[in-house]
Order: sequence, then C-alpha cells, then structure tokens
Amino acid sequence: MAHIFAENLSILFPLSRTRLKRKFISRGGTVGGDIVYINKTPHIAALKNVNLTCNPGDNVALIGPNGSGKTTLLRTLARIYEPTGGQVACEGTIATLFSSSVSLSDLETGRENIYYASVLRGISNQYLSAQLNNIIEICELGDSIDLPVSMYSEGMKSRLGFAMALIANPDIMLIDEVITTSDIHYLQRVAAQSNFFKNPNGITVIASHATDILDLYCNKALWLDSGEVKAFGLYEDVVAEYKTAQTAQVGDDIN
Amino acid sequence: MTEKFASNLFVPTLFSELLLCGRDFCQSFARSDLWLKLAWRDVRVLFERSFIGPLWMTIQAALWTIAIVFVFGGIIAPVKEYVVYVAAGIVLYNFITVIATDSSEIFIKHRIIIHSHPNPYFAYILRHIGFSGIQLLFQSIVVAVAMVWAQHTLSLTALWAIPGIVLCVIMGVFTSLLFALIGLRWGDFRFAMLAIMRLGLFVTPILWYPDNGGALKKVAAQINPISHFVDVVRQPLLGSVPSTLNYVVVFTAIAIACFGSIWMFAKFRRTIPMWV
Repeated sequence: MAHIFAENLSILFPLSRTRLKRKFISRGGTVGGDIVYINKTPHIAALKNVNLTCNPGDNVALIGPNGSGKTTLLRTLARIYEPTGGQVACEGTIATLFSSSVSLSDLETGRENIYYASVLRGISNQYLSAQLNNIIEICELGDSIDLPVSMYSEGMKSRLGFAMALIANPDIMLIDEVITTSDIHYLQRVAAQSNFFKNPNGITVIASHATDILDLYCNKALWLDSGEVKAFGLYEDVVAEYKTAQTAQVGDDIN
Repeated sequence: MTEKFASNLFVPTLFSELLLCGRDFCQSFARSDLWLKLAWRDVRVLFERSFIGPLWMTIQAALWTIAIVFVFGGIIAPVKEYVVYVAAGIVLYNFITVIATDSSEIFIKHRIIIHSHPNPYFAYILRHIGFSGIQLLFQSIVVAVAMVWAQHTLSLTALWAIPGIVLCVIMGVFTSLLFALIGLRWGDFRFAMLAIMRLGLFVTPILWYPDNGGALKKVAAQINPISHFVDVVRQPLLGSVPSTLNYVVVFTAIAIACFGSIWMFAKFRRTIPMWV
C-alpha cells in the first residue's frame, strides 16, 4: 500500500557567494521562491511548510505557474532532495519519469538502454527478463527496440522513457512535465494495458501543463505558488479555484 | 508566516551528516552491480564505433612509451632498462591523471541521473574509479610486453607492487570524491588540474631518474607526492623494495585525502543535487 505524507516540508537552496548571488540579489530578483537569509547566507525558499497526504488510488495533479516548486516537490518525494525543514515520508516503491533522456545513450539499442535504466533503478536481471517483453509490447516499441536510439524519433524516445519507468512497476509514480498533450492517445493505450494511473494500491503524482491529460486521470490536485500550498483537495475544486485566480490575475495585469 | 517557517528549519549537525555519509558509503558498496556495470558501460560507449575497442587504451600507452624511448633511450639509461621504467611510469601516471582531471566533473556528468534517481552519490565515484581501473588493466599490457621484450625477469620483490596498486586505488577513491566536490563548486578546478597534470609529467620521475641529474631533480622527486605513488608500484617491478619515505608520504597523503574528502562530503552532500 502506497502512502505519501509531508508535514511542514521546506526546501531551501543555498546561494553561493558568487555571481549568482550578485546577479539575483543585488537586482532584487527571485528565483522560484523568495530569498531568505539563514546565518547571513542567502537561500531560495523553493518550498515553504508544505503539508500533503496522499492515499492509495490517488492521482494527484501538481498545478501552478512556472517556478512555483512543482519540480522541487517531486524531487523531494523521490528522495533526491533532503528536506531542509519539516518531514516527508513515502511508503512503497517509487519510480520517476522526470526526463525521457535518463540513461539514454544514442549509440546503444533501446533494449540495452532499458537494461541500464533497470541497473540504475536497482531492478534485478531476473525481474527485468520476466517483464521486458510485456513492457516493450505495452510501449509499442516493437522491433525498433533492437535499433540504436540514434535512429529513434523524439516520440519513440519518449516511449522508451515510459518503458524505463514502467519496468519498475512502482507503487508511487512521479512524473514531471514529460507528458505533453500529443501523448494523450498513446497514454490512453498504455493505461488500458497496464495499471498506469489506475492502480488501486498506488499513487501517481504528475506535474504537467497538459490539462486534458490531468482532467482524464487525476482525482486530486495540489496548487503551488511561490513554494507554498494555495489549495489541496478534489481535482475539480482546486482546478476551478486555480482558474478563477488566473483569470483575476490576467484582469489585474490588463488593468 | 516567516517566523513559523524559520522555526521549522532543520539544522544538521556534523555528526548526523557523518552518519548519513557512512550510510551513503555502505549503500554504494552494497550496490556494486550499479557502478561495475556502469563503469563497463562507460568503456563500451566510449569505443562503441571502434573495431578494436578498449585496445586503443593499450595502443595509446604503447605509442607514448615507444616515442619516449625512441627520443631518450640510450641517453638517460640503457634502452632495455629504460623501456620498462618508462612503460610502468606512463601507465601509472595515466591512471593518476584520469583520476585528477576527470573527477572534477563526476557529479556534473551525472546531473540527469542525480535529478531522477535517489542513488548513493559515492556510487558515481566508484563508477569513475572502475572506469580508471579498466583503463589501468588495458594499459598494463604495455608493461608486460615491455618486460618480455627487455627480457626483464620478475623476482618475488615484484609482489610488493600489489599493495602499491591497492594504495593507489584507495588514494584514487578519496581524491576523486574530494575533487568531485571541489569541481562541483569551482568550475575552474578541472582546467587547473589539466594544466598541473600536464606539467606534472615533466616534474615527476617518469621520463628521468631522480638519481641522475643533480640535487634539484632529487628534491623535485621527493617533494612531489605523485612520484611516491608511482614508486610504490614501479620499484617492485624493477626489482627493488620501495623506500620507507615512499610509504610515509603515501600513507600521509591518503590520510589527508581521506579526512578532507569525508569532511567535504559531510558538509556538502545535501547540496549535491542542488548544485549539479
């Protein structure tokens, strides 16, 4: 059973005393979140006191403007960033789909790339051998799986990325921006043949601007702005609130 | 809001960070399949389009040795004695150079993977050491061929080279970790190391003997730690036991690198995914 629990979760990025500091702070700029000083060292507050609970069966959409902390939250849930404050706990196996180019070597075949992706994820050879043909079929890579990736189109590379993520059969799937509107039909076929997005014991957290995909699969939404949670709850309610705020913002900008 | 935010922040202690470093080391050694397979993949990908593949590593060291012996052989020492001396020196110096120069980019090279998978960071260091070790193995063929050609017979003293290589690898592990962390913060570091290592070939007794050429060369060899690491492997192959001074310098350098790298790792480990 998968669970995600975060309480007062905060992530600060330390800014070095270098060009970055001079460029941004002297000009009063902000990168993603606000700049806060701890022991006189400037930090970017990428996440501030985020509270989140996800239960089995939840497909959570992360929404918010660019630089609002969506990627930071996903990386923290994936245990890539360690919390600077508060706590986070994830129960269950986690797979990430943050970039379609992870472990991709253009000179190697799709099959070899999947093999090395499984090495990175700590998946055993035995498990991989048992799952591989099924995954190749689901991801519709066919015979091209034995061609060098240099011969793949961008769409095929994206499918290979899916195959790499699906091979882990995770309890918690974290997806960041790699799914676009053009993938919707492909995604529907993958979802029909696998438990992708419909695992009753699993959780999917997805950050995407492809609202038609989010509309189709998500039942909850988390709205982030400047690293803070603006709203968290049922997908329809949070999205409606977000859209209202966006409309009001556009109106303010025009006036 | 700001006050509440500040009060929730977690201030790690050096001890807690050292424990987490220890966990990272243990997890990395436990996942030997990860770094060993990826190290071999590095070699495969590097020579994917080549017909003879990693044998180019051997050829590269062989050409260097032949060229140096062609120019200096007979002037500095008899050719048959000099060829083994140079071959062993070149191969070890190449190993040290790869560690010193490429280590500064280890974490940067793994940026996409670090941002996607929560693997232990030390595993990437071991991957690099694995690649350097494979290069050392392929280049060692040159030393073996040079010994056969020069009819150089190995005595039991040559067994001292085994702990010598182990010491070089241990130093390589800690130096790689240290340089990877320095290179992560200071982009000029790799270029500085490239310049230093190029110069180092001439100020390290690889092409010349410290005993032939006056007091200055002898002092240069003694104050240069690289020459001591070369000596703990090369001297046994040439038939003599390394000096006590060699081992004192080697163990001191390893202790400094060990302390420096673990301290840096404890201090900056959390920020690695933020800085890559």
